[in-house]
Amino acid sequence: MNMYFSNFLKKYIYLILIILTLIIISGFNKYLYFNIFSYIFIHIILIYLTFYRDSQINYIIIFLVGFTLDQILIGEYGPHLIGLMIFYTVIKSFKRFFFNSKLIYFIILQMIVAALLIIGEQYLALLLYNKQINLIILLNMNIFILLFYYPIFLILNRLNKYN
Amino acid sequence: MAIGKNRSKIFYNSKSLLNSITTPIIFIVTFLLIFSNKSDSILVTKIKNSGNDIILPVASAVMYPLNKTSELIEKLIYVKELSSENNRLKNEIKKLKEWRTLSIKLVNENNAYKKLLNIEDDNIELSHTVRVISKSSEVFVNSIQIGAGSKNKIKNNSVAINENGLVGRVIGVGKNTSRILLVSDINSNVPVEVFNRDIQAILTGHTSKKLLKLKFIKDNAKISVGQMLVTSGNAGVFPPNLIVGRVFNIVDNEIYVKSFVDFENLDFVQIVNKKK
Repeated sequence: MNMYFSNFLKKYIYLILIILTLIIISGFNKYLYFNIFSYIFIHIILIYLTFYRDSQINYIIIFLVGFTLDQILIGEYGPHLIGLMIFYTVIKSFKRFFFNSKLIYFIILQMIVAALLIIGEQYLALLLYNKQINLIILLNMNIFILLFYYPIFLILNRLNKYN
Repeated sequence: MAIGKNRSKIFYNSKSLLNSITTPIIFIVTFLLIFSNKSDSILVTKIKNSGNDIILPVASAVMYPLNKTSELIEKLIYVKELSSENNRLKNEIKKLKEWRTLSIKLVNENNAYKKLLNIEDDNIELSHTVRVISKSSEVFVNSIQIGAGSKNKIKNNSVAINENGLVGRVIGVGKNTSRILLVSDINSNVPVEVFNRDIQAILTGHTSKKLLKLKFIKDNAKISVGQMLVTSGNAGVFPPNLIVGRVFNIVDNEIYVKSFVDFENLDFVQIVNKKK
């Protein structure tokens, strides 16, 4: 059990994911852009896990992250939970079709998936609980994906090699 | 040897069985949570409220070193500006002393008039003054978490104010924590009226965090910049006559309001209830 736990902690990606989730829910930083960055970072890690680290534990991790984000950010269960779970299942089934494509196309595809996931969550919040979409924040999130997807992808790739 | 092989086979089979049932169980739990949440089930309300009580203290405890470091940096910056701040505060105290004398005089005068006219107009009672534990990240909802809950008799839809005016209303109550939806959230709707004039409207949040927006103005009455807004008391959630803000700008018939409350720096709020 101890060994399993230490192995789990060694996987930095999960550790980063937990820290980022804690940062975003504890309201540690009052700067909106920092929070948007953390939020986007969480999604990019989840996308990375889906594409490159297929493991059964991912379902549990995604459930816990979705549950926590819904609980603290929205106060209602649904948008993150269902959005992330469905996204994970769909991508898991179809990702093998894209593995042969060029890296640049593959990364663009992942960026599109990230943007769709974010928009989907906002839309689900509107659909399920009538939470209005803040278009400025949504636009900012997509700009952040465009700017930071590739650098974060490189960092995660580096971490993945060490583990 | 054969026993060992069989054991590992059984172990492998049980592990794959566990794996294959975990995913459906997680999906079932997810859909049950959402369905129960949509149908306002008591169980989900309890999960939500106790979830806040568990997650927030854990997050605060884990983030304690980071929070303290950030506070320390802020303090160092503050110390640098201490002398100019000191002079400013001295001037402010001087002005406040003058105001205090005037205000005591006015309060006494007001009380005397009230006694004379036999008026009882205090419509709110102060329930608690509570510390703000954390502020939501504003990515989805503009809300704050406060360090008091059902233990302190805080109820859903109680109203939060501070010394500057209306802050928001309670939308979730845990045992030790509660969540307050800020007036600045785009999902918040507050019935307001123009001070001393019978013009009613609804005040809602705006995508720009700094301003609020006025909509559904009764009889399309004309509103001008600088007019003060107070709660109207319609709909029964917010008590009447709580100060909200001032009309700041009117652009293409869109009326923008600036709240008196600084939502970025909320340390304490007061929970008030309507006087029965």
